[in-house]
Amino acid sequence: MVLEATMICIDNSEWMRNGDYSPSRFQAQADAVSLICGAKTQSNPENTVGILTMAGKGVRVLTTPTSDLGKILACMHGLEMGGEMNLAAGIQIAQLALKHRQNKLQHQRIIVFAGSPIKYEKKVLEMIGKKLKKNSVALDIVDFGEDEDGKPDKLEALLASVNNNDSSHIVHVPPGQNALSDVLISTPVFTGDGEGGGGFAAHAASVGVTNFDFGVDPNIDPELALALRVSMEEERARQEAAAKKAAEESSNPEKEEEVQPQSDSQHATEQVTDPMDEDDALLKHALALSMNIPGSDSSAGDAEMSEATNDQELAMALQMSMQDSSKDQSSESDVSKVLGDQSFMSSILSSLPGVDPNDPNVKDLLASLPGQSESQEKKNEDEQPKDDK
Amino acid sequence: MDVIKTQQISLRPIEKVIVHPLVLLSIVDNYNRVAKDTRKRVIGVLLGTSFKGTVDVTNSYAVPFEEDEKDPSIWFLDHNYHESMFSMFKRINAKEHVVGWYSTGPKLREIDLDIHRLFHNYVPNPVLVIIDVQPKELGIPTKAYYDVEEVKENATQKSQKVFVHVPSEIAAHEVEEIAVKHLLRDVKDTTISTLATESFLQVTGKLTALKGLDARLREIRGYLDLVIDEKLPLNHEILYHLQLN
Repeated sequence: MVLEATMICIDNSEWMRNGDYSPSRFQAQADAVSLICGAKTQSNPENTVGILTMAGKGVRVLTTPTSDLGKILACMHGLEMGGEMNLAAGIQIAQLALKHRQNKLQHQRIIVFAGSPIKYEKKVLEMIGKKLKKNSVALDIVDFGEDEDGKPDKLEALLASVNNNDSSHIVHVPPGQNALSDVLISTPVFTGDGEGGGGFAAHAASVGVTNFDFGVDPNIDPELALALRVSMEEERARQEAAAKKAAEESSNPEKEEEVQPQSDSQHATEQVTDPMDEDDALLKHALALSMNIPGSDSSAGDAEMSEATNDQELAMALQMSMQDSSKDQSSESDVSKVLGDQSFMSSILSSLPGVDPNDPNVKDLLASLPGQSESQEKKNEDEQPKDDK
Repeated sequence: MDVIKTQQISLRPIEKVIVHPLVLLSIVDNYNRVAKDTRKRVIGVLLGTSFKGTVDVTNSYAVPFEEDEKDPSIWFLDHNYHESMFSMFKRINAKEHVVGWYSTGPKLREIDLDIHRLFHNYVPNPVLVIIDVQPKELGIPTKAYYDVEEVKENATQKSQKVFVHVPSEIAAHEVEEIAVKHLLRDVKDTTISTLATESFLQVTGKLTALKGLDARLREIRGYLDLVIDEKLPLNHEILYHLQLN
């Protein structure tokens, strides 16, 4: 869910009258643009989108970046085709427009629909690309319509000179049965930098393939879908970080995979594991797990929770696990590693007031957690004593 | 998109532009804030009223404007900003409409015609006023233009829009004059005694007027020399005016 300001450059030249995309290239382009605008604004309410046309009498800015979807769609209405597309000017003016965005924290992105032949030289395009890269503007190119000889090369060259950390993409859409917008949905143009568009794209793609990430329909329960998506992304980020230092450590994935399918919604309610907050997160997760063990231990869960109420932190944990809020991000990998360690868990629980390690409920809980490696325990014990009360 | 119907009815060509001191002050302030030591220029919108060929410019505000130095055809003016700003100004004073736009120039540039065309959406006959924020020559710092279609002699070429100069003056309401006097009191040198100032002002006034006349006479002479050398095309209207005076 990147905070972004986007400028969409539309090609409304004479070449757009062609009907090889149904109903006409221009119409397909307009549909794709409205879908993109919708996706961007949905993925982050502070995103802004602006539109400019490249052909006609000259490059004309229809709207400057705004988050008002209605205004954007209104100015798409009544556009006329004509003239030739001026790609270089269009991109440069889009860059100027982004320079004047109201929220300077937003990342800058330009999406270009290149439907007509490009009359610029590769050199010119590369210069423009370099300038964009210098100003940290990402560029997405949609290559459709006219299929001229040098066009893909020129566009690839432009992309190569802009691309910074794989934030820019190019999509070649050949003419055919599929509508332009459908093809675009599955591409990185929609899904941004690999996150974000999942929920909305799923909704938009309900015409054809239903492709829900977590088996939860975003329409029915958007908060849940959001929570799942966010936790997945955090998990992915954490996994990448863990994979980097994965030389010593092993058997992480088992625990995490087990935990994940179990308690999807509860994950979303956990806090970020700062070393400071690890205590809280630990407790919350323990309670959450105890709630999840099907059937028999539901009473155990309740008993534990009532025992814990005198402790202020545990009370907070209670609250958090009860709520279905999706504000906080989850990162349960550290937590799950810690919890997986039986002996470690028992030592923690014994240190808590009001929890008797010999309590059958607690023993059952511990039994449900699979064993972990020694190194896990060592590492986490080092961190634990720091903020243990 | 505020097209005023009363203005449409009486669409007389503009004969005179009156600029109020508030406008000058806000433009200079704008320039100092944004582009003081750069070669960039600032652009903004002029508000006022237009009555029987006379345009009265009473207020102004700047708009975000960006142009590429290397490629003069690349420019960007935030017209969403202008629209929201204008709707706010309208609430302050409903009589003020958009009458045109200003630029700190100091000279006309190619894209001014395109920007002027953009302002045609907001007012039927917009006026461009170029304000020279660092005037070196005598006279008032404003130059006003509006555009007309010019049909070339050989009718093969497409008719273009051309800027036409229109006389401008600085005038103020009485209340504005009082305010200006107050401001000038701080600016003017107070060591000059009052007796001397009266006659001093008259003398300096005459002096600057004579200097201005001299400059203009030189300009006319320069122009005539160029015409004789056939470096400039002959323009009958100018010669007619010269002969008249």
